Amino acid sequence: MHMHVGSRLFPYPVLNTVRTNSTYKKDCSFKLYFTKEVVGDLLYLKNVYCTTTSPYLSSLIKEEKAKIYLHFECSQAFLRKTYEISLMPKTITISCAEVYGPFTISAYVSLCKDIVINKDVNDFVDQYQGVRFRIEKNDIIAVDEGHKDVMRFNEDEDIKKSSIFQVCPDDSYPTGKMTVEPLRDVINIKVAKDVHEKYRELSRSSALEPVFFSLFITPALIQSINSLVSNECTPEEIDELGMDNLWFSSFLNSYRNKYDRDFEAKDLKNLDDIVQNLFGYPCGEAVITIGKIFANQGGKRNDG
Amino acid sequence: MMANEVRVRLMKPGVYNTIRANSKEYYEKIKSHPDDGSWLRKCFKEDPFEDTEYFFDEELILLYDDDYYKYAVDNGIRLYEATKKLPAYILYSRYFWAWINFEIGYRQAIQSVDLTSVRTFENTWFPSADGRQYIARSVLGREYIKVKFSIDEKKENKYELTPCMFHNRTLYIEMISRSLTDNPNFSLAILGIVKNIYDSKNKILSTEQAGDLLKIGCQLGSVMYVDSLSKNEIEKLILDKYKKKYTYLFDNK
Repeated sequence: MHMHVGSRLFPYPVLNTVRTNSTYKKDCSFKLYFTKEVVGDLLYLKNVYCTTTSPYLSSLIKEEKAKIYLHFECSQAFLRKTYEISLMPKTITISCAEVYGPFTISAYVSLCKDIVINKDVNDFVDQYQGVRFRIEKNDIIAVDEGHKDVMRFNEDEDIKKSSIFQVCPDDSYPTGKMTVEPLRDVINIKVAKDVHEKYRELSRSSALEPVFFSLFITPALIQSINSLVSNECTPEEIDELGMDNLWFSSFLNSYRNKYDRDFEAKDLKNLDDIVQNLFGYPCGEAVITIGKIFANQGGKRNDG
Repeated sequence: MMANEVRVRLMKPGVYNTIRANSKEYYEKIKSHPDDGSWLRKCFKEDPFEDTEYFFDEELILLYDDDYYKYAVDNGIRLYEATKKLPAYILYSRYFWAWINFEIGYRQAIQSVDLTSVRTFENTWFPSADGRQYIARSVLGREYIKVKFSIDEKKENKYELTPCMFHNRTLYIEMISRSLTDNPNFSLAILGIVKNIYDSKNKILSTEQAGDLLKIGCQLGSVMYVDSLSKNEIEKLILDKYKKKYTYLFDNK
């Protein structure tokens, strides 16, 4: 939920970085540039500026009939800020304390006064060419939107952190039934009530952690990722999924830390191994743990 | 740590998740303990809360009366003033509000929402995630948000518009659902209109009237970059259209 012009129709020509949403000619562009850096408690947007190859848009900006704004929005934290920028680089500083979770950065050009576009402007696509337009003050005339990022506060957060997974009971489940439900923040693992009671009792012992990671967590994460990411996902789409699903964001961080590169759709074919690796191959450890417990109980067997 | 400072705490994620995973059981418990949240500590061997590095300048005390609405605005302001300096990742954390609800304003939190089902309990006391939609619907988190939307630092009484947020549920729901209201010029323009109608007509907007006000406001953003406008400019543009639809709210009779 943030400001998003997207493919909205305007009753006049608008220059959009997304070509299919633009009603300017192909050789006309409008683009926002910046680099992002977090130093201490401050988020610096450095070298913030825009470029345009549209002679008409350029003239409106230079003649101060239009202004460029950088729009910063972090919906999760009710934060929405606007900064006037230009064709010349500048630095913008934002307190990290105000930002939490996904944020978007966009640039919009809006008019400072009502204007009439005469028929002789050649920057627009054919359908808009030769038409006279009256555009009002504050109307948007150029867009480069949707630069996304996430403000994280626990970069070192371990994917094994229990709060990413939630084992909960379902009264209607028979013993043995388990389902996985990926929510925005956590992955819900639903089990029968009696199983859950046993789980609560046993999970107090850290020695049994590999057992539960084998039984519940590893298959739940594999299933959740498979339901979220398709083989066709682009790196940008995977980034977006991370911003929309906090548990997946934790996975992406852990992957990056372990493999020193970003997770891609092609990695899905090795997902079983990747998830086990991130959890320290808990299946083998689980068998060894159970073996130790069995040995401590004197190796009693009840196999008739 | 100064003498009057109070350390800000969070409910431990493990405790939080245990309660969510057993929400029916804890729903019954909370229903049977309307006055004091200390029962929670007895349910866990460990302290259910953990320290953060942050402090309130002084103890946060919420006022109580059998009529919740008597102190709702005052308590919202107290919550806002105490918490406004906290970083967003604490302020919009469900673990933080779980601590506030149990340790700071338990009786007020109990009063603020009529707990009619386990689902209501989960959504308002133990939301499934952090951030906007979840905290804005939580028991005392929503009271903080109401003040955040309505505070006007430029006014002599910066809380002049705050009661409007507490008196109109529809308005609040509409406001938290739209990101344009995160622009203070926009939300204050909307609340200014609501207050003027209340002052001149002694009338709280109906669900439809409040919904239309937000709708007309948000329509400005269809082609216009509203964020570059001042509060007065936004108010004028909204009023021009709103008056056409609801003339009787503005006539002098």
